[in-house]
Amino acid sequence: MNSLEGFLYGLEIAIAPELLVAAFLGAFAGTLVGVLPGIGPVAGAAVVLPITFMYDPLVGMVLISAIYLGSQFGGSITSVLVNIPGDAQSIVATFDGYPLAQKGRAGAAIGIMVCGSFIAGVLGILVVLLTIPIVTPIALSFGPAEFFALTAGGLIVLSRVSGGSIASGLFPMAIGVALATVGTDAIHSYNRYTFGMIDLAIGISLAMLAVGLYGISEILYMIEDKEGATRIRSRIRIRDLRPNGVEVKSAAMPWVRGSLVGYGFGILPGPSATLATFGSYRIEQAVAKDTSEFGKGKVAGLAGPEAANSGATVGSMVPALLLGLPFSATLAMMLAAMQVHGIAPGPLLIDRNPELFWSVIAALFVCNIMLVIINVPLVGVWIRVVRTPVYLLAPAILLLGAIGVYSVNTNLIDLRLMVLVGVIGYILRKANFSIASMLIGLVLGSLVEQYFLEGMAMGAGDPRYFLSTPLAAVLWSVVILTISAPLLSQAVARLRRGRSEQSSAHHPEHRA
Amino acid sequence: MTTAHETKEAREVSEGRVRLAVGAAGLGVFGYYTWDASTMPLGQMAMPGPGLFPLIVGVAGLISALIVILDAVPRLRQGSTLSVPGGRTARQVIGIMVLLTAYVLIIGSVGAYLASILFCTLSIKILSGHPWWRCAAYGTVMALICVFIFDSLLNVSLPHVDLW
Repeated sequence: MNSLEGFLYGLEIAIAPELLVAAFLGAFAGTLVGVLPGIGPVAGAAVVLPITFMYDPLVGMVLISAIYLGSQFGGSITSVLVNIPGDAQSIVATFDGYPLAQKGRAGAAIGIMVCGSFIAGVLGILVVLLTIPIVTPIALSFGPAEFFALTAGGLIVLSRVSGGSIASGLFPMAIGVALATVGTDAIHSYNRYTFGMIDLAIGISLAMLAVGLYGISEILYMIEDKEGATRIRSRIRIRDLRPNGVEVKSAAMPWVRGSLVGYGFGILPGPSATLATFGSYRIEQAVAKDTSEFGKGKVAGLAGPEAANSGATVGSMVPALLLGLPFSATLAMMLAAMQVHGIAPGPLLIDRNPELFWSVIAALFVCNIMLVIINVPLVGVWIRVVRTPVYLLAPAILLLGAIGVYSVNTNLIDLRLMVLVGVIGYILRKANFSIASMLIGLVLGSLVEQYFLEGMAMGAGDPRYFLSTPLAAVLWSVVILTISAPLLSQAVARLRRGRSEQSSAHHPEHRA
Repeated sequence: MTTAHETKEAREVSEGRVRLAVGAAGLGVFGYYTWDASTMPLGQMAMPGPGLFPLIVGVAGLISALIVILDAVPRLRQGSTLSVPGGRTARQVIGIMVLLTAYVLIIGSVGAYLASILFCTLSIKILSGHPWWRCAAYGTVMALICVFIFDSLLNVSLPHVDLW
C-alpha cells in the first residue's frame, strides 16, 4: 500500500460515525482545555486517558489526537485574547496576536489562526504522504551529536528571538536551564537542588512555570490596566473573523512557510511545536522588509507561527508512530494508550497495523475540519471571557491556574513555587526581560543535558564529538548564521550610515 | 478615600537600578547554584557525574548575570525609567499577591472549597469595592463552580478536610 492508498484507506475509517464523534468531542475538549488558563494539553490528555481505555484503540487514539490539536489551538486563542499562552508553543501568539486584539482586530486574528491551522493541517498531511519514505531513515540516523546541536543550538537561537538586549534573553534562559536541573538526575539518581523536599525530586513542572510567569504576571498587569480588556471589541460576530484583503495577503506566504517549517520541526526531537513557532517567527522577521512592526500586531508574526504550530503537531505524529519516539508529554500519553491496547508503535506499525497508522493521520485531517466547525461559532464564547470584569476574571483565572497547576503533580510545593515564580515573572517583565526564554530554558534544558551526557560518553570525553558528523556541523552552522545575521546586518547598516555621513561631510552642498 | 487620579497613579523608577538589582540577585543565586554544583560528583569527561552540567549552567548563569549588570550601566546613564503602579492600584496588586500566597499556604489545611471561597471573596472585595454580601455571593459561586469542575467532574484529587 503506497502513501496515497494508505491515506484514503485511513480516511474511509476516520469518517465512521464513532470516530467522527470522537474527533468532534476531542477537538472541543482540547480547545476548552487550551483556552482555560493553567490547563494545558498534558493535563487535558491526562484527564481523558483513562476514558480512552474504555473504547476501541482507534477511538482512543483519535480522541487524544483531537485533544492534542484542539489544545494547541485553544492555547493560542487565550494568547491573542488575554495575552496568556495556554502552553509553551502558544507564547509566540502573544507577540503579535495580542497587539492585534488590542487594535480591535481580535476577530481577524482568530480568523487568521483558524485558516492557518487548517492550511497547515492539510499541507502537513500532504507532506506526510510525500515524505514518509524519506523521513524514516533520516530520523533514525540522528545521534547525540545531532540531538545536542538541535537542542543546545535551539536554546541559543531562541534566546535572541524575542528581541531586546542580549541580557534580556540570556539571563532568563539561564534561569530556565538551571530550573531544569532541579530534581532527581535520571541517569545517576542523584538529588539536585531539592533541599530535602521529596516533592521537588520530580523536578520543576512546566505548567507551574507557565502559569506563574504568564498567568500571575498577566493578572497583575490586568489589574494595573483595567481598561485594557475593554479595548477588545465587546462582541465578535462570525463575519468579524474574516480577515480583510490586506491581512489575507500578508498572511498567505507566512501560512505556507509556517506550515512547512512546522512540519520540519515536528518530525525532529524536542519540543517541536515550541521550536517551530519561535523558528517561524524568526523566519518571518528575517524575510520581512520592515521588522519594526513585529510585536505591535504584525499579521505575519501571527500567521506564520500559528501555521507552524499546527504543522508541527501533524509532523510530530510521524516519529511518534513510526519510531515510537514521543517528543512531547501528550504524545507520550498517546503511545501509552496504544501500549495499553497491545499495539507497539515503531517502524513495524505501518506493516502490522496500517489501519491504525493511516486512520490517525486521516483523523488529523478530520480534526482540522472539526476545529474550524467548532471555533467559528464558538469564538463569541471565548470573547465573552475577556468581557468579564477584571474583579471577576482575575480571581477566576488565578483559581483555575492554581488548581490546574496542582492537578499536574498533586503537590502543594508546585503551588507555592507558582506564587514565587509569579512575583519573579512580574519583576522581570517590568524590567523588560524576556520571560519566554525562561520557559524555553526549562523545556530544552533537560534535553540538552541528556544529549550532552550521551555525547560525552560517545566521544570518550572529547567535546569535538559534537561537531563530528556532517549533520551536526550543518545544524551548528545554521545556529551561527541565525545569530550572526542580525549583527552583520546591523554592522552593514552602521557602515553605510557612516559612509553616507562621511560623504555628506565631504560634499556639504548635498545636504541641501 | 481614593480618587480617580490616585487609581491611575503610576510611579517611575530607574530601569538601570532595577536591572542592576536583578543582575546582583542573579549573581547571588547563580553563585550559590554553582557552588552547590561543585559539591556534587563531577565524574570524568567520558562519564560526567550529576554535577558537571549544573556547573556549566551555573558558570553560564554567572556570565549572564554579569552581562545584565554591564547592560544596566548605560541605562543608568541614559536615565531610562520603568512605570510601576502606585496608590490604589499598587495596593490592589500587593493585596492580590498576599491573598494568593495565603491561599497556597492554607489550602492544604482548610481544603480546596473553603480556601477557594475565601480567596475569591476577598479578591473580589479588593478589586471591586462592592459590598461584602455581593463579594461573598460572587466569590462563593465562582469558587464552588471551579472546584466542583475539577474535583467532581474531572476527578482531580484536590486537598480536602472533613469540614467539607
